[in-house]
Formats: sequence, structure tokens, C-alpha cells
Amino acid sequence: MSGIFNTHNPDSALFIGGTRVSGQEVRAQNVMAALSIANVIKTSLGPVGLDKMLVDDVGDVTISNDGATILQLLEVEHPAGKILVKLAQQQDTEVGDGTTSVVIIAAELLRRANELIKNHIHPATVITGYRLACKEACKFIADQMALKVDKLGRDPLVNVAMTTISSKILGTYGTFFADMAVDSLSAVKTTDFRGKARYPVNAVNILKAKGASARESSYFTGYALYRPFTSPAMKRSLKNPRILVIDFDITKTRMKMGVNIVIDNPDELEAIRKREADISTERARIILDAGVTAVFSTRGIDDVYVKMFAEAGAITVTRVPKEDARRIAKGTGAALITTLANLDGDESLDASSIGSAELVEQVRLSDDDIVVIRGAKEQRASTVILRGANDYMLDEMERSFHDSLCAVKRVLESGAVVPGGGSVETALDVYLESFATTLGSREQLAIVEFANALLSIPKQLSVNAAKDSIELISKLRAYHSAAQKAGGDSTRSALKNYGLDLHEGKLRDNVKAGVLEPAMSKIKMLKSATEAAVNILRIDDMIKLLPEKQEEDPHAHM
Amino acid sequence: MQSPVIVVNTSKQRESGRKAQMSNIAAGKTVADVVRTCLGPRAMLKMLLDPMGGITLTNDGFAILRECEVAHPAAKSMIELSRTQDDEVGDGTTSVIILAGEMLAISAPFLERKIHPVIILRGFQKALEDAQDILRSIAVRVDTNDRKQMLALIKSAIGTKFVSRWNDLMCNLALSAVQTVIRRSDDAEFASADLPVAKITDAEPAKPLAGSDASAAGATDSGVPATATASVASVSATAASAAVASTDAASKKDAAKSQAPDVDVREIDIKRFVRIEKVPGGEIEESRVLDGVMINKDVVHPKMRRHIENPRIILLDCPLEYKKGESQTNIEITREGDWSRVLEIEEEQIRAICDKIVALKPDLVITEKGVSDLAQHYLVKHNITALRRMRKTDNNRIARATGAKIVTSVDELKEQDVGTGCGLFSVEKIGDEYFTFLTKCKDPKACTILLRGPGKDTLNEIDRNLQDAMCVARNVLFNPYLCPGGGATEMALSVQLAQRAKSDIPGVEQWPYAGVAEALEVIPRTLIQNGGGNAMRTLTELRAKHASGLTTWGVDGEKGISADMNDYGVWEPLAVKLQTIKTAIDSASLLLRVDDIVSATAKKH
Repeated sequence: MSGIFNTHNPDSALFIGGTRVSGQEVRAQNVMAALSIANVIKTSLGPVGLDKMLVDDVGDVTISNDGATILQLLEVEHPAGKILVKLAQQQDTEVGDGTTSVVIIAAELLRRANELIKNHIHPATVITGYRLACKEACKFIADQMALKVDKLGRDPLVNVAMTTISSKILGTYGTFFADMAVDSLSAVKTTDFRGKARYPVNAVNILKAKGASARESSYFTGYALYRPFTSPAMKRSLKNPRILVIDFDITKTRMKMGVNIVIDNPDELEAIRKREADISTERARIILDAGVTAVFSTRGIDDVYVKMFAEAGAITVTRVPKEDARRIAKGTGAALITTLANLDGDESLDASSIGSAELVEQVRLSDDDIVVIRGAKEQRASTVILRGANDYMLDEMERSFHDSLCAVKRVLESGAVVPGGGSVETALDVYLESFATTLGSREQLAIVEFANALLSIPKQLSVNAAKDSIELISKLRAYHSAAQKAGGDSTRSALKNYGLDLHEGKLRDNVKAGVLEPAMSKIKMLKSATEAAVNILRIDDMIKLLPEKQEEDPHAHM
Repeated sequence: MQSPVIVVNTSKQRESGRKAQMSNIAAGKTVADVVRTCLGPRAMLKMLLDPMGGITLTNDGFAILRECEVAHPAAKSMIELSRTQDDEVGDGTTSVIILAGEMLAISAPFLERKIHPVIILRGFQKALEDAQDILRSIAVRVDTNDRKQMLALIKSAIGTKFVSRWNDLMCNLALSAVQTVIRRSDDAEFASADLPVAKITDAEPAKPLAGSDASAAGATDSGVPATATASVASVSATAASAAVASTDAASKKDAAKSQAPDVDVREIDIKRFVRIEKVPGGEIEESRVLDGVMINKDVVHPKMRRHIENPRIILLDCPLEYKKGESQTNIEITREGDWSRVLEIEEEQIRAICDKIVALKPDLVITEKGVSDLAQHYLVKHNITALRRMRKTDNNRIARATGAKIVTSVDELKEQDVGTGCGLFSVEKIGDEYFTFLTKCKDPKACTILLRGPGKDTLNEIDRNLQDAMCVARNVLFNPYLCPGGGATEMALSVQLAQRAKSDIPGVEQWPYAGVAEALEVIPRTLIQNGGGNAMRTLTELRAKHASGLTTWGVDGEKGISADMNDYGVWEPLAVKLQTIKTAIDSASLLLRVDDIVSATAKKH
């Protein structure tokens, strides 16, 4: 047996060639990787966090405050680090916000777990402790911290958007973008088949146009498309258009590659030529006869046919990106048609595949013409036009705006908010510490560490703001502990909403100050941070195969 | 012993914290320094050598920076600014860079004093808002119909440029060209539009994108416009006054309809409808704006007429030659007669095409595609002149100038597609090349500026300057407000912001707010320096003047001393000033927020 594993040097001795790290060493490595990842992004947390400038190997610049974006561009190599990167991305897709916090918490959980394990507590115990703590924490948020915003006034929504935006580049512009996020998202409200209100974030179309200044960004209802009408001879606006979305060319038909037509009679040559043109003419005719007045095509339309449409008073837009075509089809109730052929072998157009809207028009944006569809039948859309000094700025504005849309959506759909500014984390810390003392098992230790790990958020917030974190946090904990022991005393229990005011370096009631976050994003954040930490903690052996041996074993990485 | 753990791709360089901030600021300052000497009437040109060995001679900020290859990400971001400025207003590309660089420079001491960037930015934003208010308050309205005022205005804009020797000529060229392509709301096309003013923003009415814009040659099918607005433009004095007269008439009509004639200007598309043709040789004084279009083409057949008065013009976007089908077709010829039949068919096809054209009795046929020898033969026989392989953009301009409509297939040719708006077709030889002129158009709406001059590089620079001048004219026609130039506006902003900083701004934000005021002085200071004046003394003088409310005092850039802009006569469009300060502050905000730069070095392999 000992011939297979050379146990004297576990580093270089796998019989298949590669390295193996196990036990405490691999945990130390993983924790270190996680911490360095968190280190990179931790200064971007909070309203006074700053941005990172990332330059890739061709020299393209990205400036971002968004944890997921930064990590994605960092090209993390360490496997444990990659888990954290995935974690941030997952938070980004699921919740859209809190990507930085989730990584910071996960890294802190790992660091503390590692200390416990060094003190000979089995990882499994730590894991159970963390899981238990996470469960308790989520319950606590839902029961104690969450504030129902039943009537969903505008203010809490704007506040939530504002809280998200405040840490980003848009934060400098006050509530301007927060208002815009709320307005544009409210405009796309739909109800699903269960009668529940839905706010699809992707129905808010974000266009970026260089020039003017950020404050001149604007929003309007209607779907905008970054393409002009195909021909300048078309009308510039069309009321009550009947919309057709197609995914085929209206060009002179040609036989597929390799098909060779052989004819005997030269006169037939002319007939072929004519037929080539006629097929599409007929198609255009069918479309026009069906009463279509606006054609959106993902492909091209030949000038000849464009003219046909233009003369019939219809408008066409060609080379529409597929994604846009789908959304237009969905919004206007049209079907995305790939062919006119029907089962009978003829070509026809079903009236049911034609969508409608109130108005289609072409307007000028900066130096380009864009097409705007207003009042689409099925789904309202809204469009936000971001203006800014250059592309880097616009890209970051788009990311920030998207985050705030996600946050508003979460609140609208789940209807609960929690105070921000480290308030929830501190409350949880106080609560979990007292909860830990009710348990007589080893998990107690893990729960206490979990509680303390959460404090890394308020701590980092105050460090970024260059405030005295120790003083602020001790005070904050005192407040929350008082609130939780309040019993029926309402003045004391109101203290539970206290959080940090990072500009002044003081504590304040963050519900009153309007620093709010969606409750759901906090819960999701805790859950996924815990899961990621647990995942990494479970590892006690890392085998890395040498790349040369790849042919022998296709499963080159674990 | 623990082995090192590689977490992040090691080929990356990373700068963080204060170091990153300072390196961004340094990069910004460096870029600004490159173009610093290009500001003002005493500006110097830069000679740039590109990798291909070509040279560019220019003092246009954007043109210089475009050619510079920079490695630092922040510097790239700065260069993008002048591009934005160029796209948006077409002028002030140098000022925006200098100002943005200075904004970054004044933030350095704040960062050293440990003021948090977020607080600095808040101060900047407040200053930006106030600055816009102040700008609007010192702006004066200009009468866009007064040619003299407009010329003076354009002159001040290109006064700093290479072409300043031919100032009057260039201003006339720019203004005439812009007035040619202007489209007002009383044009037939707009009158027939469904919506009077289509507003795209319903949240904030009529701000950024107000106005349903017209574009392209679509106007040509709406027949004759209701009123001839900008009429025949020419550099000759008489024609110029005629133009003024006719725009006056138009504006009276506008005024009757609404009290704000400026919103009536719907579209000025310089990019599409003003073409600058550069023909080396001759004198710069020979440059002119044509009342029509000129194209670098000769007729296809030597026997065709080269001089036609009042030609009937047909514009085509289809070939006048035999066209095979799209599908792959093979003909197997077995009988002898079939071969000649095939050839006949080709001829018949061309003949059929030509017959359809001839039926409309045109004098001139212009197509974007080819014309075969046979077709040329038929056309010559019917005394029709043909031009081939016209560029799409040129064809669009011709369509707009002559009133012809571009037809995509001869089968669809109709009488109303024929353009009759052109007064004279002629082919002339300039230097070694033949040029086609379509001039004396009744209502051109599109034009060509013919530039003559000693060399290609000179012409290129004149071209750039002329573009700037036209942009100025366009901006003022859209937004007829002016600010005093020569650094007076910046000085006024600076002094007033500094005053507000002391009285209105509480807390630490006061410092960056006042910093903006200080940074704005860079424009007058640079002007003085470039003019060889004493920056200290003149600036102090100006500050005193502005403090006592004389907001029109600026710098006489030629002498480097202070001067009242009312006398000195340098005015700039408000739109440019607004955009400059907005872009400068926005971009500084972006860069100051960065505290970490991670950059990949060149790929490992």
C-alpha cells in the first residue's frame, strides 16, 4: 500500500503525479484565499466606499463599485477564491445587490471557523453551529427586524433605492436616480397568473448615450431601440401601429449553397431572375395585406422592399438585436415569426401574430436616431437614458442603476424592509450571542463566532468612512442589547432601528433617516454566505494534478 | 512551512489607496498638459506623427489626443472626454481637458488632508449645480437672424485656430453652410407630422431630447417646402444680405406663430448634409460654399454633355448593367441558336432598363451602382449624361439639393421622382481631376463646401476648424444664448462660486466647492500664459473686476491682458460652456472615486 501513496511527502507524491495538500494546511490556504478576495473589495463597501479601476490585457478599463463585477474581472485562480467569486455572482443574479457584503461575511466566517478548528473543534461541529446560527438569524430578521411596508408608499421605495445607490457613483446625485428607479420600475408593473404583482427588471430598458451630464439622464415610458427606421423616407411617427416581428430576410431569394439550377431554354433564365425577386415581393405583400404597419426584423430587408413598405405608409426597422426583438414581441403581443409558411405549403400571415401599441416614433438621442415604441399592448416598458462623460462612467452607471432596480423590485414583491447601516448585523450579533448561551453544546462556540463575524459589516463601514469603529460599534451593540431586553418599553425597543450614520460618524435611527434595505436581500445574503463558508470548510484535502498528465486523466481539477 | 498561495492571476499589477488616487490625478494632469498650449488666440499647433508615418498638424484638442497612445487607464478616460465633447457640441475640446485636469489637480491637496473623496464629490456636485445657474444668469440672448452677430460669434470660436488669417471667409463659409441645411418647423414635412413637438421625456418635459427630429433626405418627397427659409447661400456680399432678408421673412412668420423662434429650428444635420471637399491647389480665398453639391466624379462617357442648364435629374440605386440572378444557375447550351439568344437577353435587359429611363426624358442619370458600356451607348444616343458609382451619402445630398428621389429599381420610376431643383450641371477640371458640380439649386438644403489651399495637411486642419465653426453656428441656432468668452465666463463662475462657498456652503464640503472655483481660473490663466502676459497681475485684476459685478471682463488672449468682452467681442455659445463644465466635473468625479487600479500586464505567453 505504501507504494501507492508516498506518505513521507504528501506534497509531491501522488502516484498519478500532482500535489496534494490536506488537513490544516489546506484549510489555512483556503481561508487565506478567501480573505485576500474579501480584502480586495472591502473598501468598496458602503456609502463612503470607493471604486476600483480594472484594466484588462488589451487595455480596456472598467471602473466599478460592484463586488461581483470587480471579482469577475480579477481572474481569481485559487479554487477556494473561485467559490467566493461565484458566490458574489450568484448574489448578483438572484438579488442584484449586496454582492460585496456577502463576500466579506463569508470570508470572515471562514477566518473564525479556522480559529475554532485550530482549537480542536471538529469542522462538522462548526458547520452545524453555523447552520443553526444562520437559521436563527433569518428567523430573527423576519420576525423582529423586518418592517412591513404594506401600503407601499413611495417613500420607502425611494429610500431603498437610495440606500443601494448611495454607495455607487450615482450616489452623488442625491435622490435623482432613486426616484428614477422607482418610477421606471413602477411603470412596468404586471400581474402574473396568480394575480401577484410582478416587476420585471428587464422590462426597464437602459440606454447609454455619451454627452451632457449624469443629471440630464431621463426616463420615459415606452420601449426604445437603438436602431433608426430603415429608410428616411418613412414617416417619423405612426399612431396605433400593427406590429410584426420577423426573423427572416426580405431580400432576393437565392437557392441554398450548392444547389445548381440547370436550364435548357435561355428564356427561362429571365424567369428565374424574376421569380427570385417576386418571392419576396409576395411576402412583403402578404405582410402588408395583413394590415401590418410596423415591421421589426432581426435580419435585413432589401431596399426594393423597404420602398414598398415606405410607400404603403409602413415603417420598418432592420437588424434589430434578437434580444430586443423578443422583448418587442412580448411587449406588443406579437409573435416572433421565423417563416411565413403554413402547414398547407402556402405562405400566409396569421392575424394573431400581429402585435399592437399606441405609437411608434423615431426620435433623436444625442447623435443617433432611436426608435421608441409607446403604449405596447401586453406589457408596458420603460426606458432609462443614462448620460455621462464617457463610456466607463456610463457602464458603471448602468450597473449601479440595475442594482437599485433589483432592490426596489425585491421590496415591491416581498413588501418588507430592514434598516441598513449595519443595524441588522449588530442586532443579530447581540441576539445570537444571547442565543448561544442557551445551548449547552459545542455549537455554542461556533454560534458566537458567527455572531461576531456579522460585525465585520458595520466595522468595515466605519473603517471605510475613517471613523472610530470600536467606539461606534460598542455603542451600537449597547443600543441593540437595550432594545432586545426592552420588554414592553417602546422607547427602548425603538433603539433596534439604530445604525451607523457614516457621514457624521454617529448613530441614528436609520428607519427615520431612510436608510433601508430589502429584508429579503439580507436573508439571502446570510444564507448564501453561510453556504459558501460551509462548502469551503468541508474541504480537508486538495489534490491538484499536474497539467502535463492531462491526457491520462481528463478530470484535471477537483 | 506553508507554500505561497496564489489567489489572483499574478500577471496583474495593482495599485491601491492613496497611490492609485495620486496616479490617476497625475495621469489627468499629464493629459491636460499636452493640450495646454492649444488654448486661445495665441495657440500653437502640434505636429503628430502616426505609426503609419502620416502627419497631423492641429491645435484641436480632440484631434491631438485621438492620435496619442496612452497606457494609463485614467488618461484614456480623459481622452474619451474630448470625444464626448466633440460629439455633443463640437467645440471646447481643449478646454474640457484642461478643466478636467485641473479639477483633479485641485483635489490632490484635499486627499492629502484626508478629506474623503465622497465628500469632495459632494462639494463638486453642489458647485456644478450652482455653476449652471450662474452660467444661465450671465448668458445673453442673441438674435440668430442677425448675420453680423452670428459672424462675430463664429469668429470668436475659430479665432484660436489656424484659419484665423482667413477669419471672415471661414465664418461666412460656416454660417452659409449651416443656414443652408437648417430645417424649420414650418417646413412642409413637419407641418404634416402628427405631433407638433414630440416629447420623449414625460418625466421632465422637453429637456434633453425635445423635438421630433427630421433627418435625411426624406424631405424630398414632401414636395416644395412651405417657405423658403435659408435661401441661396453664397459668400458674396449681396447674396449674403439676400439670405438675411429671407430668413428675416421666415422668422417673422415664426414669430407670428409662436414667441420663441429658436424652438422652431428642428434639425441641423451637419454630418450628413454638409460635405467638405478638399481640393489641394489654388488659393484659400477661392474656397466657397456651393448652392448645391459637388462630387469628385466625371461623366462615364466622353461624348456625354458636360454642361446642362436646368437638368432633369434621375437618381438610381440600381445597376444599369446585366445582372445575373442570385441563385447559382448554369446554362447548358446544346443548340447553336441558344448562345446568341443568351447574349440577346442580356442586351434586351439593358435596353429595357434604358428605355424606361429615356421615357422620362432626363438630362442626367446618377446611379450608385455601375453602368455598362451598352447602357452608356444607349444613353449617349438619347443625349443623357450619366454618372456611376456614386456614394450613398453623396447621392442623399444630391437628392436633397435637387429635389430628386432615389429610386431603387427602374420599374418604379415616376415623373415625380425626377429632380428639377438644380439650375446648372457642369463638369469642371480643377487641378488634375474632374469634378461634377450641381449648382444654382433653388432650395438646396444640402451643400458642399469647396476648400482650396496649398497642401493636404493645411486643408485637413482647415476642415477641422470649419467643423468647429459649423458646430458653433448650429449650437447657437438651437440655443441662442451666449456667454462672454476669453475666460470671462470662467472668471465670473470662479468669483461667484468662491463667494457662495463662504456664505452658503456648510461643513467640509466648502473646501472642494471653493476648489472648483479655483480650478475654473485655469482657463483665463492659461489664456494669459499663452498670450505671454503676467498671469498673477492680470488674474488679480480680473478677480477685482468680477467681484464688483463686471462679469464680462476676460482676457485679451493676444496680448495677455484683461479686456471687456463687450468691446473685445469674443462670445461663446452657452451650450458649449455648460457641456464643458458638466463633463469636466463628472469625469473628475468618476476618477476620484477610484481607490484601486488592477491592471493586467501584457499576456504571459
